Amino acid sequence: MITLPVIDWTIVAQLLVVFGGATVLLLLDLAIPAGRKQVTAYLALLVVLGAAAVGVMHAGVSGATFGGTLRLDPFRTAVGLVCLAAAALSILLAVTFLGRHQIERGEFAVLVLFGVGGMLLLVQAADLVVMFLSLALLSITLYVLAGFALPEPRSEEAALKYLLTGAFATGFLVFGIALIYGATGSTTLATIAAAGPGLTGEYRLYAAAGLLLLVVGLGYKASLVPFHMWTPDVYDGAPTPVAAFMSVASKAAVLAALTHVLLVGFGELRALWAPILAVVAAATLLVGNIGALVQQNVKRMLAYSSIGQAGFLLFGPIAASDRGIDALVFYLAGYTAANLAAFAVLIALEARGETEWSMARLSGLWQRSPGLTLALALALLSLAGVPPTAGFIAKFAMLDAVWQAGYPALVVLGVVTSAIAAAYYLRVLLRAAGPAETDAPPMFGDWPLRLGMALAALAIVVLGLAPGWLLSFS
Amino acid sequence: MIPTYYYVALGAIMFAIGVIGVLVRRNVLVTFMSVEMMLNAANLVLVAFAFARQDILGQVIVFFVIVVAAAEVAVGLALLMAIFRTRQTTNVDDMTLLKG
Repeated sequence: MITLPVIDWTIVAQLLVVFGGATVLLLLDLAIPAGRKQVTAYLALLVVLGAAAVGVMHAGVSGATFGGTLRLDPFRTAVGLVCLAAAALSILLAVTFLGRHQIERGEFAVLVLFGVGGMLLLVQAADLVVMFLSLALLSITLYVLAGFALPEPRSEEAALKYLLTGAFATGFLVFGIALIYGATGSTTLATIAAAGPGLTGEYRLYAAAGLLLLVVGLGYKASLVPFHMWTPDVYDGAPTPVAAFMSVASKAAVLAALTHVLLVGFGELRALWAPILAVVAAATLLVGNIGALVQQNVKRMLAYSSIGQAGFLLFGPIAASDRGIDALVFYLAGYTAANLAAFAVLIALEARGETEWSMARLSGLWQRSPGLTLALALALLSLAGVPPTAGFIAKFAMLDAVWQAGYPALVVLGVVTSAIAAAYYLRVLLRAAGPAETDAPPMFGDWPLRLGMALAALAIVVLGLAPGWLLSFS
Repeated sequence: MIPTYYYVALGAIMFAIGVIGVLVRRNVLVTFMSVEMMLNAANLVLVAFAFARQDILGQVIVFFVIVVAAAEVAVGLALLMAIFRTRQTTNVDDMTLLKG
């Protein structure tokens, strides 16, 4: 007789809430008449809040279940909460945006739920197969979301470009998993780590090659240089709330998975991956920030800036210390709040039929809406790392972590690229404070959008002024 | 018996052909086929290792890979249909609305 292993339901409770909620909502959506699809979005918001409440309830839980393929610990809980917060804010920002752009369909909120479920699963995964499946789940939902404004050609093009690069990346990931399985006979990170030191000859080669392919596969999803080419096009073409969602949440989940693979599964090969990752981080910082400097399109500028931020995020696994992990969580939280606030301002200014998000449209914003300008200023100053915002503490913690780990060159590069970043963020703010250059675009200030923007702005300030409670969570 | 690394070498060559296909071919359908080639190269390696180790896990992973590949292609082809309706093309070189 087959005996089923004991399942620890507290570890999977969050996943059950999200996936159960998404499935039920998909059915409920049938009963909600077209034109009232906002109801679906609010119900999805409830599901996300429920999952977040479960996460907070189990904040101190550590353990593994399903044969050690799923794990929960304070780091995973914290990153999961960041993903859920990003999903909740993105739904708030999208609720009226979708109606305004006549793409109000119930599937939007359900897809966001499945996407964030995939992200939670990716964060909790302690097994390469679970990582592969959860990555596929979150990627496929994001492909559909990127093309959600169909038949708008730019949205379609963004979805196709995202899908082609994403499928390409999946190939690398799967081949990497195959080689690692061949080398170690397992796909569970703990078993891989245990088998690592005993590997000889060709098996050692398989493991090293597998790890590199795995990093390539995850690097695509986290838009690390040189696998970043898709990012500006996809963020530019995708509906703005979708761009906001994927720029923060999927990055957080993928960075957490990358950290687990490197530190838990292949800690023994650190001498191999740490220098490679340091070079990738340096290239990502330079390409992202220099690329953003020349952009006139605000959405593309934010895309390049998110590439630059990914370089900073990579400092966490490179530092490979508790300090680095703490900094990574804080950086993810601060970056999520700031980027969502920045995108929220764009959403508030985006009427239907806009094609290119020219920087000129932000000019004269201060005279028309000091509130929006303030939110934009907070977001961009935080992204640039100006005190007293969350971004300053985050960058400082990251630089401290890599300094302690013995990478002074990365610290210098981090500071220099932050200075470059400040230049293009301030350029946007100067345009916003200056005189209007074009006809005033319409502004939208419905309550869900205002609430989302206010929450994001509040998080920037709170994290910046009182960072202690999140910075020393582990 | 054929040594396992023969299969790994064959898989690596198939994988490389798939990668080159994605990078140089311009038709989206052929690009999808190239991605399938990459995934099947990984499947071949998985099955070879599973056989060498007399272990079922590698073969189970193959099923997951096939399912994910099918799901990806389902979304991809639906998207391609939509794009073909608006633009009458499946060539990636014609996808030039987003650039800069």
